Amino acid sequence: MKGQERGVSADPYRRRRRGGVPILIVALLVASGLSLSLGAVDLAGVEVAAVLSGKLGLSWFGEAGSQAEAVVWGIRLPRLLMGVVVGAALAATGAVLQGVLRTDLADPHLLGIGPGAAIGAAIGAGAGGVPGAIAGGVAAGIMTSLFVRRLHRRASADQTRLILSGVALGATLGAWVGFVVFASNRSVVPPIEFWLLGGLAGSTWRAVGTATVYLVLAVGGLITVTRTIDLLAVGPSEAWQLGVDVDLTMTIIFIVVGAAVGVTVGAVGVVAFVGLLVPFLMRRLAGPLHRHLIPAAMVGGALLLVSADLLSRLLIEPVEVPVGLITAAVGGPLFLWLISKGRDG
Amino acid sequence: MAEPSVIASRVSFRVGGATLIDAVDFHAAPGELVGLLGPNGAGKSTLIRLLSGELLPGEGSIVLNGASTASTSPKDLSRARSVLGQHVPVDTPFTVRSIVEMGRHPHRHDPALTSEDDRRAVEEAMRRTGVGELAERVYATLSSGERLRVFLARVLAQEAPIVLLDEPTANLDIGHSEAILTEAKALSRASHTVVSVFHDLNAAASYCDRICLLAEGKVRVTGSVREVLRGDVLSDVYRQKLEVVDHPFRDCPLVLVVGQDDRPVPAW
Repeated sequence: MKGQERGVSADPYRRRRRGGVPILIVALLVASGLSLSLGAVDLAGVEVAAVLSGKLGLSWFGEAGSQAEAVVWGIRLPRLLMGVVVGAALAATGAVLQGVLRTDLADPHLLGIGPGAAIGAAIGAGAGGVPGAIAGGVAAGIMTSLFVRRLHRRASADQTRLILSGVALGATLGAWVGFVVFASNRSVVPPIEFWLLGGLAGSTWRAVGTATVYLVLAVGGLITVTRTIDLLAVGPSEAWQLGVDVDLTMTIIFIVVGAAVGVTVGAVGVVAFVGLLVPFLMRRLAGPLHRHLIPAAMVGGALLLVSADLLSRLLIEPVEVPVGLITAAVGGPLFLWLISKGRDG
Repeated sequence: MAEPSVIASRVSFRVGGATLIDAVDFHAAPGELVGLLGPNGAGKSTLIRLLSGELLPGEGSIVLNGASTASTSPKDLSRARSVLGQHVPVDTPFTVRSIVEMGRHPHRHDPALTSEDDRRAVEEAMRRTGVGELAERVYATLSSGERLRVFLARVLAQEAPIVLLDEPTANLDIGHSEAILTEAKALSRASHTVVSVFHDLNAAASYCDRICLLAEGKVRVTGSVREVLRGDVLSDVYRQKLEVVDHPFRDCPLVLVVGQDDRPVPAW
């Protein structure tokens, strides 16, 4: 009985999922707690708890000092929440792209969508601050995403060629981000390293609110079509045989992915490799079905970005390194390994 | 015989100046298994892709269950016909059960819900194709014969009245290939319309009700098995000296290769 080797469960990933996802959630909570208390000013857990409970109108942990309140409520909590929503969105879009493009090598930023969005976001930031950056990021993200869709059509089944095209596109568009930044008012537009390496510092409540609304809509939309993404992950002609309008569906998915990536870039710049690394790991934990994979990837993405952000603050204190350096340092080797082992090694 | 549910009328299909299908008439009805035969390049696979709606004819029309493929949505097509190609995917990460369950996609109104019908169809499809014990295996770890059975199960789960098979036994050993063809025959007997491409003339002779013999994109001859499988016709189309005798054990013809035709073989 071959079917019995993997246990009697109807889904071989169910046990791993049920054990693993709660552990990830606990890890995310721990990382969140550390993220609120550690940094330029180290706060005790009780002080953080006092601020949070005070904001809820409770005084379980005593009165919070005004400095603690300014740091936790004014700086670290919005920054933490930004890390959660952006990390979740990047991992979800990465999982979707890896599914519909049928390759573990897909990542919204490595395909060039992030750098493209950054051009629009930098222009938008010059015109209208963070809301402008998000709007510009969405517009440019959608345009770049549709361009990648065209590249995909041309590369047809050759995924390696598509990834190479995306990397080339990203390098080109990254240069244009530089031109835009250096040509704009440097007192309004964030510097080039923010756009190309990302950064969660300076996340305001308003920025978090705006980003969250758009990302919930975009990722929520993707979650409603997880079964269709499964069909596309088997193959376009198989999906078509089962009634999927492949062309239309792919175009819509690329638009939504481009918009979501644009929001994240407008809010925190390009943080590469979250969308590559997390879906890769979560597929081993939650299984390949996207209705399980995407939620697990969202938790994993939030955990990765919050942890990377924490590390970016602590690594070379008091200097803060761009968070994208941390994700690239972790994700880059995986990318290299995936390429060198070839398909399904 | 029932009214045809698959009707191709004067269908032509051209790509880059090459005529792959030239004014083909074809029909198949519920309850019959119709074989598409012909040498490589005769247009068999192209015709199956046209019948499935994947390709649209340049001229002529294809009607499935009363509706032209040109004006039918992918969703409605997927309720009318299922397709099993000779190249099933090799590397998908899903389990066998997940892939068979995908066959129910055309019937889902709410994509999140799995109905009792869905469950029954999936179990039945896996039982009939013998993949039940592979249900929780990861598809990519299966042998090629097992993979094809999984996709046949997906086709059965789809429960479409028209079943299109593109040389489903191409990579299979004789036991697996007989099993697949027996299942195809059973589907036709359960009032499905089954159209299948065959490479193996004797497999077609054993299982088909009717045969349509294609050559160079045209219908060379169509009719009952004994009408089509004749030594003179086959020798001409395949450019081999072929003889047809009675099968000693089955009630059908048996095609034998006698030798090479003296005419030059087609250039590669």
